[in-house]
Amino acid sequence: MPLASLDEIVSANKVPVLFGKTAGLPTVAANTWTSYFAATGFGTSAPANLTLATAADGAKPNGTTPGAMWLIEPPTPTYKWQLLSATMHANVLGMALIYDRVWHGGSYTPVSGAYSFTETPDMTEYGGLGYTLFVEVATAISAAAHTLTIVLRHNDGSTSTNTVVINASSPVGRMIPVPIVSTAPRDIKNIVSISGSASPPTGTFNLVLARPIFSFAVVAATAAVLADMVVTGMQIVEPDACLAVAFFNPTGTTAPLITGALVFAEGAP
Amino acid sequence: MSLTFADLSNAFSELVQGSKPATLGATANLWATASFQPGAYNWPSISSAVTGATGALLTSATTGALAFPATLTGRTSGSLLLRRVALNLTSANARIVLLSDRVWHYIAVPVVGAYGLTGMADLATGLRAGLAPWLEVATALGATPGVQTLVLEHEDASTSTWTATPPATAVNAAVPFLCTSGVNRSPIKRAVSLTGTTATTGNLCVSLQAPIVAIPGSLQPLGNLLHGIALGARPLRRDACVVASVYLEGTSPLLPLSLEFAVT
Repeated sequence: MPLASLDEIVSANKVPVLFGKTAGLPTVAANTWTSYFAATGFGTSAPANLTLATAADGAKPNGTTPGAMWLIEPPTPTYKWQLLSATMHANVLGMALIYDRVWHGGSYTPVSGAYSFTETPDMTEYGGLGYTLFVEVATAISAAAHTLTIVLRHNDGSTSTNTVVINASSPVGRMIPVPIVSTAPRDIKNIVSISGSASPPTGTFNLVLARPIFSFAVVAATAAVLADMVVTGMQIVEPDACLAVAFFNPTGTTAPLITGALVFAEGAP
Repeated sequence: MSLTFADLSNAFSELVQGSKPATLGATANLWATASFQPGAYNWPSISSAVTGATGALLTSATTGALAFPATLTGRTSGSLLLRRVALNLTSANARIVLLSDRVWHYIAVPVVGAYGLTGMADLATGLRAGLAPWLEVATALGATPGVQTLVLEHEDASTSTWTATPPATAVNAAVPFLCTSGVNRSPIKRAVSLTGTTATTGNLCVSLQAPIVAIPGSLQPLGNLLHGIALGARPLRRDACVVASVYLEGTSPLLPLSLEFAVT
């Protein structure tokens, strides 16, 4: 049922979802987002690396996918979850993004021209709204930049052609947001096609469609973050979400050790 | 009976009139600084006695658990809700403090092959929500015992396999098990078997625990007064075996901790 009162929130609390990324930490490049998807935490074993083996149209991971935060209670068929509180500690200043990995595809080897890629299914999670598309470097890119051209379809049926540059020598784990050129609409219904610039580098990358859930601002190294239901905005989270962490280090290249917990209440329609 | 927001204030009045808040900080050896292991989680000083083949179900009466005042233990019905946490972090090395309801554990000497963990009965349905397995060093080990493999059975009768390697040989060092096959969100109802790779002296402990709250460490040593609702605390069983853990870097902190519970 929808959570309409504090009483209902108290009764609807679920067991906290612990997340800790304490081993297998990624290499961090300053002033970029870095994926923690392959770092070791709680629940499911972390993947050996960021290399994906998805179908031609990618895959929709979930809470049991290796690398995801372990959503400890079963998903329910009727109601969604809402983020009630969030706590986190990181020993490096920066920003940690908790996001639902709604879809991912890869790993792709850079090519000149059209990629071997099949148009993805429609994205219906979260009402098809609020996604950010990232390039995630799976194996290090050699000393040449690569420009991707990505055709996206929007919920009104229109398409847009968007470009993003994977910088030369991008390290494993670098996450690069893809700017969307369409001014209206800016939502993403699915990914239609990918093509690459000439003289492609070696290395591999993934595409990740992320639904941001919460951002932890770590204002100083080892500063704690504690957000209650007002601060979290009680964001709706799909109960089968593939929750993951990315970190932005604005001052150096140290990968922080991250520990924390998310508490959900069940009841969003 | 469901807890309501109004219960918090009503029940708290009863609690302060009838008893002092339960206190962890005064519990002997729970926060013994010498036995905390840096670079690891620490689940200190719950009873470390070797258990029988089925392990042991744990309650607030278990040695080392949060000692509940009579206001709580004298009740025959209702639930608990963590209302307030007072935590004094005396070191910035404490990365996070976890409070959990420790439902069950099994303690034995490390062996090669199958441990004597057999015949564990199904946990009562009300104890299964949110359980996750942990591996701890219950008493200091003579050598690193290597990977431990735990097989769990779920409510839907499926099984899952989990592995963990003790992060140290010293007492209290702990690590969560990670699921390597049979990943399943159906609640855990019992442990089926445990397998080791190295025989040594000392004791390892496998436990099933449900998190209550996670309290992040801070930049500077400081005292925190945190509201249980803000932390997302959920109702607990009345005789919960409440224990605390810290993930530590560097030298050991002292962590005086006091909890207050609302009851219905």
